[in-house]
Amino acid sequence: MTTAVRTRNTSLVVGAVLVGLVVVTALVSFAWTPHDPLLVDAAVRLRGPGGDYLLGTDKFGRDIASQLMVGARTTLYVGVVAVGIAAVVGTPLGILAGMSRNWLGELVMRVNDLVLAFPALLLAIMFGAVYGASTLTAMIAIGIATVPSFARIARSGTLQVMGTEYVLAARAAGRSRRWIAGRHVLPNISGLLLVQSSVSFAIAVLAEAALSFLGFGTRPPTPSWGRMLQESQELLAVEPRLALVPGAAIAIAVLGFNLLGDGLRDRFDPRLEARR
Amino acid sequence: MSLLEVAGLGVGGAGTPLVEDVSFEIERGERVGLIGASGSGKSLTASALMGLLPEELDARGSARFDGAELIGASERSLSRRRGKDLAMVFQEPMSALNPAMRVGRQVAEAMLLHGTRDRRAARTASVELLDRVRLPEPERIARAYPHQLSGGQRQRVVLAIALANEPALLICDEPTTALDVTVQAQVLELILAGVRDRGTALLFITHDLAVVASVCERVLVLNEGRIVEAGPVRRVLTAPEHEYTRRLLAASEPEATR
Amino acid sequence: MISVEGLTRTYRRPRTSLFGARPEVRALRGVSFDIQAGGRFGIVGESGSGKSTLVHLLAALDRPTSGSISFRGRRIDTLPERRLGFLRSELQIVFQDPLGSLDPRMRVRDIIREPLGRAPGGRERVAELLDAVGLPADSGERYPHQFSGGQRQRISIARALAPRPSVLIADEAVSALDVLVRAQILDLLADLVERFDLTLVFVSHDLAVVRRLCDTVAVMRQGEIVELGAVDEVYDDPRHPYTRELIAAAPSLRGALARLEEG
Repeated sequence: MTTAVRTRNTSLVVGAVLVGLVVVTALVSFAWTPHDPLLVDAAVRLRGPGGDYLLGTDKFGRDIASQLMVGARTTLYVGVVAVGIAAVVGTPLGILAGMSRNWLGELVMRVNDLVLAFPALLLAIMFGAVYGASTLTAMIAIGIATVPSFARIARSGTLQVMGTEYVLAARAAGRSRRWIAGRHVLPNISGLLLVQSSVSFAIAVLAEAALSFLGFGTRPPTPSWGRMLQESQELLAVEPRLALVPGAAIAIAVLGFNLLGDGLRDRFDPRLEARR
Repeated sequence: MSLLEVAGLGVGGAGTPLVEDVSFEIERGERVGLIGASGSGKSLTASALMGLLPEELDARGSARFDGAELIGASERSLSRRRGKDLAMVFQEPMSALNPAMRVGRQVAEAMLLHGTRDRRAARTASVELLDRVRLPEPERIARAYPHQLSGGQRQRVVLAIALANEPALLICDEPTTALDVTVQAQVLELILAGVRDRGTALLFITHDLAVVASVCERVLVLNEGRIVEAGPVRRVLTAPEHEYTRRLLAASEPEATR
Repeated sequence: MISVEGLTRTYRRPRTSLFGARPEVRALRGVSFDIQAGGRFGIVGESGSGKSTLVHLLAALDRPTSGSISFRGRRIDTLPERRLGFLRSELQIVFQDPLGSLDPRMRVRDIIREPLGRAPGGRERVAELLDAVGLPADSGERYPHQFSGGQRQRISIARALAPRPSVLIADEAVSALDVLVRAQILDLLADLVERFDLTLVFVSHDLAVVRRLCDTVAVMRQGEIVELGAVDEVYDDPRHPYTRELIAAAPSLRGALARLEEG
């Protein structure tokens, strides 16, 4: 069985390494960056990579490497808050819908479908228009838009757990619905939720970048990968490096979280678990 | 030369061996039972012969079928034999059938795959086969999907597929365990008739001694991956030599120990 | 102890098409019987006979469409969940699948303690129960997947005995076990029923197993009881053709060996 486990975990390992890279970069940026990421210095505008500036400078003479490092912070911040909102709201709703197979459960799922049908970016743009564009409104909008996917996963997992004989045994022993939800359902769907978190994180990272690119996310001067991309736009033909660097960072983060999700899915696949 | 000659067959993974030093022979047309408790290695032995072991397990030793070595043979040569010379019936008929394909087509497919019949002949033969496993209205059943059939009917379809190419050896792994009591007897009868008519040899895996007694001529008793006793059914079940066989017998006859 | 009167249960299948009527399944069609205190009541039937539905109704995990169920003279089919507390400790179930009926993410001691709620003295009770079902004392710290099928069924039995019930329902409790282990669990059940003075309801598709454990048997087919009586009478002198068919079809080692002797 050892060899099979090893092949299965490749995506888990690669995903964890990529995600770890982003996390470490963000953490280091609190203590140290090569330069002040916000320092505008006309004397060093559009410097190429190498020398004092590892990845060069942008059109204002700001250090790209430093902006990238601080931008990682924004990315993770958005992901954590958005996924947090989605998990905290969506999971109980999904469990509720899965456990009450009556009008209440139906209602929760129909409202859920309604939110799901609404494009996340449109919601964020609306939020931005009403409450002013900021990292916070972007996070909340992305979080709300992600709630339905958590509710769905939680509901399908709950239905599965509710069909098991151990839940029947708990009911026959007179345990309350709250006990069953807390002691049987939640622990047994936690794997599913973890996978969903990882995949949602990747989507949130991408959404934040898109919003910042459109000007509905992080405001200047706070560094953000999406905004770095936007600012590179006008110089795309002469300085493609300015777009490539944040683009690569976004790709690495998204790929990392997706691989992590895939790896976790394999790990928590109930069929594989049964064989272990 | 026997049809199947198994010598020193072993199955194991990274850790402890699960089947060890299993040797037996099956003559053409002979019906042999393989009995033991769950975890005794019965199903692994069958999987090893079919080349269907899970990835993480390997087989050692030798199993010559019609003179050709099965253990360590390439996937290509094995898949050419599976379903044609060697066929298998599993415990759970639902998972052995493709849920999205009409059953008649699945029976015909078995013949087309090995090129034993052309398309039109395969279609006629598939209805005939469904009739021979005594499915009522075989033309109608042929157009049904697996979920529209009962458990017993599904197992008959699986049997029809297994017998489609007149295999030399049929391996049955607990084929009636998942079925209702009244259906069990009928399916056993069909398996018996199916192999007798065609002169097919049978390796019948079960934990049920009563079933072995009514189906097989010879029996192998497997315990913890080793054959502890072998011989004609009547001798083994009436005058068991091994302690484990005696325990199995005592547990199988509840009325006797009541 | 338990009295069942004219019980029916009709399910509605989920819609198969958007506007079509929902097909009905009549799982139980008028079932009546009484189980005496201390009795060993067997229920035999094949798949689709309605025996699982009956178990769920007896345990008040489901409501009948019509008819009544009384437990010690009290109607339980009409009581709301919050007033079923007495039944939840008095009546316990052991299920078929020894793995599926144990939460894989709970330790054995928490599984066994589950029916006890927050009652004190859980630790000693768990030790007592593990001993009663013949499991090693340190089993409580382990998880279900670390046990064999037979041991898992012992855990299930320990959980069922935890609240000191007076009625134990075994729903195909030995069907998933192989022959040697099955014999051990049957012996254990017989022993526990004796020792704790339990009323046993034993549900199975296997007539031989029921015969070994029960004094009364009800033979079910398609939602009805076709024959009801003392086990030995039903077995030796079956009245209903279906019972005869069931007995004839059951693989019997003795019969098979007798045929071998002849042939």
